[in-house]
Amino acid sequence: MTHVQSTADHLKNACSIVWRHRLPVVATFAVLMLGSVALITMMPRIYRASANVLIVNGNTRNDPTLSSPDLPTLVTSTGVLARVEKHLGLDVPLLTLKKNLSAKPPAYKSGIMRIDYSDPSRERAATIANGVADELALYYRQLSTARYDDDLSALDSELVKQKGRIERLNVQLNARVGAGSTPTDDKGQDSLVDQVNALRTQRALASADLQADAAQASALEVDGRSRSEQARRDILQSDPLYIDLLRQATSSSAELAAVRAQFTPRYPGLPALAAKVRSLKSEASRQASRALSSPHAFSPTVAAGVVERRKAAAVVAGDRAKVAALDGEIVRRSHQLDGSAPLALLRLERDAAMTQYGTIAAHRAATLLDRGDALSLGSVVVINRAVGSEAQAGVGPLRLGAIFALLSLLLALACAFLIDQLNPHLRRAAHIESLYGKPVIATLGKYL
Amino acid sequence: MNEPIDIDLQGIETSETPLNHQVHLLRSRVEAEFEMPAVVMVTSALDGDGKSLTAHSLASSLMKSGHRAALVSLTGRGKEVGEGTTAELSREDGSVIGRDRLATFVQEMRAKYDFTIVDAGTFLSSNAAMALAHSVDGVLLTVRIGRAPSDEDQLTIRTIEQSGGRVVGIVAADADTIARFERLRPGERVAGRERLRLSEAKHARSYALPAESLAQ
Repeated sequence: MTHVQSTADHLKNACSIVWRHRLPVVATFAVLMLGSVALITMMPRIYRASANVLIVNGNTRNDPTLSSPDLPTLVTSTGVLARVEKHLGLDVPLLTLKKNLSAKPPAYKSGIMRIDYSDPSRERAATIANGVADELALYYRQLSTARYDDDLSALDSELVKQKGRIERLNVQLNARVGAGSTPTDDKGQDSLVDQVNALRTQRALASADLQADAAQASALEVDGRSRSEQARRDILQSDPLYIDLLRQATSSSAELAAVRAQFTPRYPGLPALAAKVRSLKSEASRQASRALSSPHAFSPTVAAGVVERRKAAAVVAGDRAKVAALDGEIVRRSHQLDGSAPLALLRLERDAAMTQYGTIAAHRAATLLDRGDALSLGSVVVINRAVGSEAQAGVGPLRLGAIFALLSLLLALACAFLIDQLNPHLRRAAHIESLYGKPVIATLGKYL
Repeated sequence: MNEPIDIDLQGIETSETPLNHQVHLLRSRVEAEFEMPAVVMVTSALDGDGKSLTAHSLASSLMKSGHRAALVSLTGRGKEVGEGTTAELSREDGSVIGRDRLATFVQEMRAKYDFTIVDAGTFLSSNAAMALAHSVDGVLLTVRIGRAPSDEDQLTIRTIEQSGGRVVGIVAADADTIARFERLRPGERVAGRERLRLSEAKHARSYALPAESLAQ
């Protein structure tokens, strides 16, 4: 080719191609447009409703709220959507709600966020968009005061508990005071306690005396047993027959001892003498027994010991009686004191409960102040509620039709060029040159 | 489509239509390819490929550029194109023109004209074209853009070369331009279907070499 094709030539050439294949172009365009119209007709109409919320964000150290960029995530959170579903009584799955819901972060230096919801029903779209905005405001407020609300709930519960406890203690106190069996004032209670303490002291002293006297009596008992030999001797010394027999036996024994010293054991008079001695000793022993067992036997030592033991036993008995009496008194007074001790305890317990109640109430008041502070720092307010409108989500049918028409036209034109390209006829210089093996030196008419 | 093809052999000045520009380019290629005097045969493999358009346009352009040019038609349609232009060579009734007669004719044309353009018709169906191929200085083969390839295409090339002819190049002609040219020729059918209306006959002169030009 020896000429240079201009843009106009290219355009003219393209137009000629389209004109040459005008029938396929028209047919393709018609078919595509018919399909587009059918598709647009069959497509469900989706309406989009928008609600606007104003975000007042504190972002101070006490502000537990989220920052604005987090709010779109909060809008589509299951926490908000579940509330919307419950509040509006929707039977739409959360996934569908989330899919049809959209919210973009507020623009730079703007606090207004738009919440869009798309639905085949325009009223339903508006209702859900408004519901999401309302629930977002509530949820945001709950998030802001959540930790304070938890504290307040716990404090209220504790206050109720303390109040019940105080009332119960008051009832018990009134019951005790109404009975009147015990001193109700502190002075009477102190006197009673002193008395009990004095009695316990006395009992301790009495108990000590008892122990001492009991020990003395025991000692006298031992001493009495040690004095029985002396009493035996006293009785036997006062018996002349025994003394005489004992003297004879002693004499015979001395004689027997002299005989045994002078003579061998085979001395003839020795057995008789020995028998005499044995007989005398035996008689003396019998006489001693008779004397000791006689009712008339008397020993001054024994008599004195018996008297002392009886006196000691009497002292011990007296001590025991005293101790017993003190125990009884102590028990009685203690019982009296026991009746008054819980009363004071109840009063103390009631006072402690009231103090604790006051502390909890003060803490609750402080928590309420903090909660109010948090509420003033960050909040979401619905400023523009959605209303049902004809605005469709995405592209409207007319615009969609225009787009489809344009696409159909482009496809039809492309179809023309495709047909032209696939045409085996001689249309390009290269084709002609390859066919003839000679160069194309000129073109007359339409450019190749 | 109704725009007339502006090749006016009567006037010196012509408008620079795209077609005229293409014809001028073709003329330049011919002038560069051949040494004067030259006899150039325009032929094609199939009928309707634009032989007459090419031959007429080239001859007209050569004349306008100051050359002594002649257009000779072997198709038998010379009477419609110009009076007495090809009377001696338009024997397409089966008789064979002798080689000597053709050689003499070429020599005479060379003697008279700088360029002699021979509209030879379809090569494979023209005995005169086959006989003339080795005598002329070169052959221009025309092809109608958009037609389907044919076995005759390569057969024509081989036949020309076997006949001793030299194919200088291909001239591709647009079908619409060919049809408009044919329509403006009185007594011809446009694409074999439509006869030219008499009211358009005046334009035919634009494509006809006047007899006096050929007689120069």
